[in-house]
Amino acid sequence: MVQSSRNIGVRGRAKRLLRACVKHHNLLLMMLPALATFLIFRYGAMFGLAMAFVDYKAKIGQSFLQNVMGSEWVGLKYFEQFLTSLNGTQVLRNTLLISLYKIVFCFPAPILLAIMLNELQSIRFKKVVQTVTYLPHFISWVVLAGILRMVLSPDYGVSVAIANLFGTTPVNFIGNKSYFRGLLVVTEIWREVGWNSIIYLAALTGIDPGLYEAAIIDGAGRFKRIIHVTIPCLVPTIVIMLILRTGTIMDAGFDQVYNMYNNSVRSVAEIIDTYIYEKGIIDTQYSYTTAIGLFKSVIGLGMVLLTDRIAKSLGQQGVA
Amino acid sequence: MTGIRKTRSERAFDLFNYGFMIVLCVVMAYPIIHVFSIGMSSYAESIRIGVHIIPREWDFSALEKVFSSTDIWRAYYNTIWRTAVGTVLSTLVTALGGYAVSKSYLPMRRTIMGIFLFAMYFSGGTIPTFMLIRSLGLMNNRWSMVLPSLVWGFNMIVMRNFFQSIPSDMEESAQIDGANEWVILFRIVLPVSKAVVATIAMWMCVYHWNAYMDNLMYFTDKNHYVLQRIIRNLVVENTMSGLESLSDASTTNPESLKGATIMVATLPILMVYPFAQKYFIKGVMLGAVKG
Repeated sequence: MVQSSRNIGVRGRAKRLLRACVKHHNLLLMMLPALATFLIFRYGAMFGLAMAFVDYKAKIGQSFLQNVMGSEWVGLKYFEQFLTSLNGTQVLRNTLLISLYKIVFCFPAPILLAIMLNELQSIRFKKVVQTVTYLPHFISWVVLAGILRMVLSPDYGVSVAIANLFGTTPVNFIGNKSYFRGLLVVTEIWREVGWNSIIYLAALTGIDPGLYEAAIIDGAGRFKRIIHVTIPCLVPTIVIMLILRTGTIMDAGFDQVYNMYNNSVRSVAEIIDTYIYEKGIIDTQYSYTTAIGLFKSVIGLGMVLLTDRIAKSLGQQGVA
Repeated sequence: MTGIRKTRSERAFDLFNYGFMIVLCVVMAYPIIHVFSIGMSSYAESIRIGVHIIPREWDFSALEKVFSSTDIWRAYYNTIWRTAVGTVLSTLVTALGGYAVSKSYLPMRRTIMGIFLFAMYFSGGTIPTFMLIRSLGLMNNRWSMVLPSLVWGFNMIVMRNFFQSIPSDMEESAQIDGANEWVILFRIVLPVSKAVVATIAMWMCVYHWNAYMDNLMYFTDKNHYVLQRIIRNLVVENTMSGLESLSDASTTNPESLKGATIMVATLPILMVYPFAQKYFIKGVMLGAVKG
């Protein structure tokens, strides 16, 4: 009896769904292109993850799936290889270190900029500063890295002129291991500080002017108002942005590193994404690099889910 | 906060704040000006060590060289093609999808949203995507620069949120008059959604103009190189790959040539940017309201 009633339930639901599909076929048709590209290109690519568990060998005249089926199953061999090899641990360490440096130094910069912009009295001056600081965000890392290589060139760069001015020997910032990560931090701030300040400026405009008025009546000066009104009002935004930023800790910035690094700084600059590209696309070690990519994706997804849960438990709207 | 007398320390703070902002702007804008200036300098001027703002000796031969190069024009064409086709198609498909998921009566809405959300946070990664493109026969095919990035989950959610915030009485009365969803979307909803459509279009436009990674991975044919890839070859890899028509450039010095190429690739963005700025900012707000 229970079985049959459930059957009717399922059949009834299917019927209702079918009727809804017919009624709203236009909506479904609108959905189709977006859904199809997602299914083909995003989910289609996920099948390729099977390469991580086999010793992928391409045979001429066979399709990708036939190749995967025909390759020897090796289980977690490539994951182990990545996590135990000297290169792998170094790449992992670089990724986490560069991400950490960026969280420590690049994350607070736009908050500071937003607070300082908020204190400018001249609206026109503020607009000019905003326009200039937002600009690098729209220029690609290819071009920014090119510009940087010219400006910091050990032969003709401004860095040489500055070194000459102080009578010191010029430093080749781009090719020096001890400066390279610092350079990544500084250039990241260069490109993103203005853009990332927008969200904090928006939060600042939402502050009730009554709070400032009350603070003035209480005799609070500029600094006191910043410390006791502005910053506390920014805290919720700061917390959610920090949580979201931590969720992407496995992304150390492929475009930036890939266009700025070179062989002399590889040992401190190679991150997971550049390593995958070099070993996978250039050296065609498909199985090994697919395993690294899968490792990164899983950790990344875990971090996003974890940080999203933390954000929600703090009463914020999460990412999903 | 005028009308309140400032203490001395507050005035000092103002002075510091304005000064700091000026220094910040100079530091951020200088590298770009430096490179542009070198692109328009004579050989001797381009290798002069020091600050470059306005060339002491103007020389447009590098720019002329770049503009007379067939490789640059072809790369320009490829970049413009992917930017135009990619932006139009992406915006259209994102709007259609965003509108569909904004309706609570969309059949299987939860499943469909789940499909989008999962793929936003978990991806097959670089290598499987590369193998897929190869299996689909999209290597050296222009569409491999447009189709894989056609829809971004984030953009669709921004669209959806905007559509949901529009009062629904207009749509409902049109529905009663017998208009179908296509008519409602294109005649009623989109005309009042220009801001969000412009924002998504701008984002996709900048993305496509600056994109090079797909071009690097999926194209071996030099006829399909985009501008960013040529710049990368010239200023990052220091090769003339894809720029053979410039390799007789012995008369022009390499520094000016780099400067001129960067200039040519960046100027369009710099020209659009002042007008587009407000849409970008609006977009950040739209995305931040609710994910």
